[in-house]
Amino acid sequence: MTMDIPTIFADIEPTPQDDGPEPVCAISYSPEFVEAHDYLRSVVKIDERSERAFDLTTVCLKLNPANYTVWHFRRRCLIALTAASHASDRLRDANLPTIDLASIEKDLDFADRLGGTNPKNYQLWYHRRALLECLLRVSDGNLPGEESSSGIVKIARKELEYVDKILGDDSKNYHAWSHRQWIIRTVNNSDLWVSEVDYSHSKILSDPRNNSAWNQRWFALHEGQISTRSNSSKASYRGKSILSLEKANDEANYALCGAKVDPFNESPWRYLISVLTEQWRFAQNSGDAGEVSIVSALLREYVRKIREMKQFWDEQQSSGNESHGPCVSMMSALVDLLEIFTNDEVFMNEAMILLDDLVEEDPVRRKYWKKRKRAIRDLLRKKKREPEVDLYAK
Amino acid sequence: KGFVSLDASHPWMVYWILHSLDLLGHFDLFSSFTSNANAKGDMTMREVEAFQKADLLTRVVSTLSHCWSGVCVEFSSRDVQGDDKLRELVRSQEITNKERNKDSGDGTVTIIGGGFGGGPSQMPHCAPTYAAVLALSIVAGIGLADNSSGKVRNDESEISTNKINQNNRNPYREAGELALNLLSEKRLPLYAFFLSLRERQGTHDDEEDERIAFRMHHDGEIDVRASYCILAPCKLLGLIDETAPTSSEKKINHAKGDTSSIISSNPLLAPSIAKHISACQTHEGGFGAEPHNEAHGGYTFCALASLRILNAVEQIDVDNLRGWLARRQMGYEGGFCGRTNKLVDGCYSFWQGGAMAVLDEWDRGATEMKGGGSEMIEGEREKKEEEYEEELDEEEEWERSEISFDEIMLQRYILLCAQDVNGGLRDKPSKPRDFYHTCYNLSGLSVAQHSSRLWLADDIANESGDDSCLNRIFGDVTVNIVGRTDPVLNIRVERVEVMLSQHF
Repeated sequence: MTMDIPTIFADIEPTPQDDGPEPVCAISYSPEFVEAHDYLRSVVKIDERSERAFDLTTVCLKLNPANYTVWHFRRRCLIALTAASHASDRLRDANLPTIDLASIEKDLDFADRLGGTNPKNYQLWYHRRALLECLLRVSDGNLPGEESSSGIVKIARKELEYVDKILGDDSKNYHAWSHRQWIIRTVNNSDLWVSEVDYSHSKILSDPRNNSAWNQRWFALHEGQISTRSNSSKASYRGKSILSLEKANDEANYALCGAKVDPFNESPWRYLISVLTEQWRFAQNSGDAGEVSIVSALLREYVRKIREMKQFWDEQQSSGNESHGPCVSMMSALVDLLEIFTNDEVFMNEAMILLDDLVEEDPVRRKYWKKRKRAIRDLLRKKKREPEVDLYAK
Repeated sequence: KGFVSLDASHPWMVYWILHSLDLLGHFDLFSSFTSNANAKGDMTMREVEAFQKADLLTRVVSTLSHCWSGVCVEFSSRDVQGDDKLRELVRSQEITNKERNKDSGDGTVTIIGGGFGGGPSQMPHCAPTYAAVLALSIVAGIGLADNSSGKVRNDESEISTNKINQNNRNPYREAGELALNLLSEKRLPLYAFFLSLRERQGTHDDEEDERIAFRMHHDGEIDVRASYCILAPCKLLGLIDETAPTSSEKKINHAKGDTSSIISSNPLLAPSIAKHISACQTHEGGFGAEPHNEAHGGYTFCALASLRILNAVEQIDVDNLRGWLARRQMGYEGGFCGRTNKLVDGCYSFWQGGAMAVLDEWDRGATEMKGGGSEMIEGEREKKEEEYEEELDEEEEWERSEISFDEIMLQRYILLCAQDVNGGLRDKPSKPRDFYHTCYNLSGLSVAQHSSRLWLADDIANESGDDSCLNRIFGDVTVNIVGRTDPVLNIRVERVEVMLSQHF
């Protein structure tokens, strides 16, 4: 369905693109591209926010979906058309500019169709956000966060389904995951937070190496404050919510299981270390000796578990049944944990030995491993000089 | 043809290509470091080439100037009164248009700001603005090299640019002046535009926890790229450096118990801006586009470089970042990937490799004891000396000035895997070459070849004699060496030097 632009815009003088004399990087445009954009420039210049202007943006966006100026003008048209035609009192009374429901749904669909070949286009994803922001304002009237705001939750679920579809094509699409986070954060409904943990789990199951899914799990549990410690300033660390000890136990276990599926998978190891480190820093910061002791025990438990895993692994390798070689991710995780116990000479020596091994087995990172060694050595020397100083009081 | 999808990215194309050429020594008048054997040809030919290149640079400036768009932005009267740049802008605009800028009585002032868009008649946008300012800075740097305070830093050639200009005029001078004039003219409107992109984040109740992010353009997405796309041009245009204390200054003042000098009146140095950037660091150690988004190379570079410009690197978990960056280099391929469990891509040679270079430089600045340095307090210095005497053996000292990743493996990936046999560079074999990948592969190559040294922008007045050092070079250095890029700003250090010595 083509638009007969010169006829529809017969009353308007097209504005050719002014690149100046002898431009560099001059693009070779098709005649239809030139025509559409020459007229659009004129329309934008006089700021005509009409039906025909809106249709013209459709033509231009199909030719180049990355033109953010055209997207912006399109939104202005949508708002103006809604204001002109919508009879609803609620919309007219609304202070913020808004777009009517039918137009929003149509444009979400338009963005979806354009998005097919452009799943990584910033403007498309932002357009969805802008439309949804209107939608969330318009629908239901309830404040986000209230349980009864079913209208908003329904919209959110529908959009989450859309994102899931996109992730079906590319399970690591950065914009898609980011969009999911925006929806859930904006709507801030507790059911959605919980279901997002489940969603991340299902994604991890289908591909344990999908780091985006692991990242989403962290997001859902932390920002959703699912089983986090209460958010009083004493119970948080640097203003961020921390997992409760019980939840941390669960998540550490979850991560270690993930690591056992494939020890070369970096994602579960980093997740594990992050969960444990977070607890440790919180405990140190709290100054509560009981807290420190409990968390310390948790970390030591995992030192034991990883050592066991490593031992078993090393045995498997040397017995010749399988030979994948040493598992750097596992060794690296063990070092990270051992290094925390600056007062434990056995742990620190073990860490130094592992780092020596890593220099050998992971040569592309040897300078980094050497730096880690040096850092530990400097720390130990400093401790010898100033045994009173608590070096981990961050 | 086929470039229609880049119709909203004209300045990017210009920057990618111009910076690539510059790294390859295309505009160097004598072979300062490259194997540009043409330079050894006869004088007439070289003059003709220089003339053609100068014409190209003039066209570059013209093209970019046609991508400029003005936009009206509103500020509260109070904000204007408290900001000398905004006041100056209002003053200068009042001369031309009294109506527009008068105080509308309700406490707001309308100012004509502006920025570069993706093409003529396109709205101002952070990303093409960044690209345009960098490209213009390259042109200015090339054309005005004889005005720079320092020497052209290279250890290969005897003939520095200074020497040229004693005998011959710099053929790029006019183009350089055009570029600089354009930048001078636009720098304050840019400043106003940038400020108008600020957006408060999070809940509004806790003032101490206030975070301010930037949009990419009016009615556009918010993500951490915007911070970098704004701060880098501001650094080059002298819009933030006059009051930013360096990290060593901060340390001294902090130790003295003096916190007042840390607080600046420049809105770009507001703590809430660094706070937002820091909030984008994830549990993995890298940074995402928005808080809690997955750690990703592009955003990590933008976040770190921004914090470096703001002298706020100490606010993040540096150790965690270092680990994440280190893990991004692929053991087999040698290149970098963008995220955990993803594939290698040549452009991350710069985003990740460059980020490591920024961190290395910051590390050096943070721990290094300068000869006669005033950063240390007496007692601390004595202790440091002790430690250094004990520990520093030759190998370690060499390691401290090296780059933290495996520079040979990275160079190898770039030269052997990322190159297209017909010229140009790419993501990985089987992907087509393009200008973006050419630019960032070459930038990554530059970072891998040149060893880390103290950031020029912090160090410009200091004739520390800390000349160019090279890391280990893959292949024949005379053939493979490229220019030294500034890892924070990603234009050649010689160009940065010219820009930072301007008095706007």
